[in-house]
Amino acid sequence: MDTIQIGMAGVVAMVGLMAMRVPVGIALALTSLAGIWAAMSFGVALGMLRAIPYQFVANYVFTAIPMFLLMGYIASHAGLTSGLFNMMRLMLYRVPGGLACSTVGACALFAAASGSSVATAAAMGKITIPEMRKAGYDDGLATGCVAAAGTLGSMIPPSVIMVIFGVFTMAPIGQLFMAGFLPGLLTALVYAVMIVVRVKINPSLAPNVKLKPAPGELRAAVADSWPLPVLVAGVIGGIYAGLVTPTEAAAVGASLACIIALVRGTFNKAMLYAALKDTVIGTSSLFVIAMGASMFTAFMGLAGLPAVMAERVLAFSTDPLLLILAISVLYLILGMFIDSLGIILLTLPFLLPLLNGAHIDLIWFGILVVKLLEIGLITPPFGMNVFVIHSMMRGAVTLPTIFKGVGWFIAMEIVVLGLLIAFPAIALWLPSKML
Amino acid sequence: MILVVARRLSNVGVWIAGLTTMAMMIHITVDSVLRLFNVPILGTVEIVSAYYMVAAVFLPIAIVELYQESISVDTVYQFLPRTLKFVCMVVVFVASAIVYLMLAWTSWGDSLRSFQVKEVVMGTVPIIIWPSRFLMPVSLLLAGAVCLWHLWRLLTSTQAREELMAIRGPQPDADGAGRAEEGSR
Repeated sequence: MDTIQIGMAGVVAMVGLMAMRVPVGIALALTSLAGIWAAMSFGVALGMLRAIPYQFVANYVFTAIPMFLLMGYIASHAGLTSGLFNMMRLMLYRVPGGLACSTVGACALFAAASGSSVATAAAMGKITIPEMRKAGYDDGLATGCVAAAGTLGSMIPPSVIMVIFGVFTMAPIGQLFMAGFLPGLLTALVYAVMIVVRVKINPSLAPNVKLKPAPGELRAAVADSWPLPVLVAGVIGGIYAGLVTPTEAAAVGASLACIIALVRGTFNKAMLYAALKDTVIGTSSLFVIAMGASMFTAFMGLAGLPAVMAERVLAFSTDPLLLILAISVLYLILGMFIDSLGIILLTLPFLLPLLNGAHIDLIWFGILVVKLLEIGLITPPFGMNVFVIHSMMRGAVTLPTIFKGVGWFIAMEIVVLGLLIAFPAIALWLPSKML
Repeated sequence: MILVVARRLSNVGVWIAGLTTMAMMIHITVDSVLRLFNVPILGTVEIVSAYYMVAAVFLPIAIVELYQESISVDTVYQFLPRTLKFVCMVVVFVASAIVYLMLAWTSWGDSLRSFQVKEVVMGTVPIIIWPSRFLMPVSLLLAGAVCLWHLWRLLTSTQAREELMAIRGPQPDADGAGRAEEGSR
C-alpha cells in the first residue's frame, strides 16, 4: 500500500470507529497512530504524535475557550440571563408573535455571552417555551424558534467554534468574531420577519396576548437585565477597538461576569460549582477532540491525501463559487449526522489546500462554515438542538412537531446562507473597519 | 462503593480544575489591566500556557470519562441490537484506554527528560516549566484507569452494563432546567 491508500484506509477506519460510538477525539488519535505506524513505523508514529498534545494545549490563544465558556456559564448560572426574555417581551408586546420574536432577541443576547449553540438553546428554552405555551402558542413555533435561535450562539461573538477554526486555519480570531456579528444579527432579523409574516397570515399560531406592560415595568426589567448586554458590548467593543485581544477579552469578560454576580448577590458556592463543572467538562471534552484532530492532521499531511485530493478537485474546477456550493452540500449532509466540532476538524485538513488553491477568503469561509454548522444543528434526523429541546420538554412536545416547527427556520437559514454567499461584504465589512 | 469514592474524588477534581481556570482568568485579567499602564506581569503568556491551560485541559479528562461526557456520535449506535451495542462499548473503552495510556506513557518519558534538564521556557523572563509536564501523564493515567474500570464493570456487572450502554443524550437540565416547564402545563 502506498501512503495515499493508507490515508484513505485511515479515513474509513476513523469513520467506522466513530460509528461504533468511540469518542471522536479517541477515534482520531487512534487512527492517526495506527496510520503512521502502517506508513512508516511504530517509532515514527510515537515520535510524531507524542509531542502534539502538550504543545497543542500549551497555547495562549486557546485560553479564550475556557474563558468564554466560564463567562457564559457564570452568566447563566448566576441568573444574569434569566431576565433577558422578560425585557424583550415587554419591548415587543405590540408585535404579532411577540413572544416568539422576543425569544429570538433573547437568544441573540444570550448568544453574545455564550460561545455555544447547544448551551444557548438549553438555557433559553427553559425560560421561553413555558411562557409561549402558556400564552397558547403553537407547539411547533414555540419549540422550533428556540432550537433555531439557539444556533446563534456560535455565530454571534464570542464563539468557541470560531476560536478553533482560527487556530487551525491561522485566520485572525478577532476578525472572525467581528465577521460573525452582522450575519448573526441578520439571521435574528430574518427569523423575526418570518415569524411576524407567518402569524399575520395565520393568527392562531400565536394568539395575541395583550400584555400591555404596567407603567414602570419595562424600566424594572431593563434595570434587572442591563448588566449582561453592557458586559457583552464591552467585550465585543474592546476587541473591535483593538484595546484587547480576543484572549484577553475572554478573561476580562469572565471576570466581569463574576463581579456582576457578586454585586447582585447571586455568587455562591453552589452556583460556582455548577458553572465550574460545566466549564471544565466542556473545556476538556472539546480539547480531546481538538488534540485528536491535530494528530489526524499530522497523519493526513504525512499520507499526502489532502494535497492529492485538492489537486484532483482543482484540476476539475477552480471556480470559488462552485467550490463553496460543493462544500456547502458536503457540510449540510455531514451536519445531519456528526457533531459540529467533529465536522469542522475532520474536514479542514482536506479543505484548507483547496481554499488556498482557489484563493477563498478564510474569514468569509469561516462564517459560511459556522452558518452551515448551525443549519446542521437543526436539520433532521439528528439536529442536536432539536434533541436538546425535546429532552427538555420530557415528552410534552413530540420530535416531529419540533422538526416541523424548525422547518421554517431552516428555510430562512438557507436564505441567509445564500445572502452570505452572494454578498461576502455582510461578513467582511465589519472586520475591514476594525481599528 | 468505588463509584461513590470516584464521584467524591471527581467533585474535588472539579474544584481543582475549576479554581485553576478561575486563577487563569484572574491572572490574565490583571495582566490585561496592568498592560494598559505598561506594567504587564512578566511571563504571563508562558505561565498561563504551560501551567493553567495544561491543568485546566488535562486534569478533568478523567472526570469527563467518569461521567461519559466525551463527545461521540450515537447516529448508528442507537439503532444497533443489544449484543452489538455491548461490543461497541467494549471497543469504546479499549480504544480510549489505549490512547490515554499510550499518551500517558510517552508523556511520562517526556516529563522525566524535562525534569532532568530542568526545562525552562525563555519568554520575557525565563519560566521553569518542567513541573507542568507531569500534569499530563498523571491526568492521562487517571483517565485511562477510569476507562479500564468502566470496561471491568461493563464485563462483570449487569446493573453497570445498562448504565454504561444507555444513550446519554444531551442533558440540558443539569441545573434543574427541565423542571421549569412543569408548573405551567
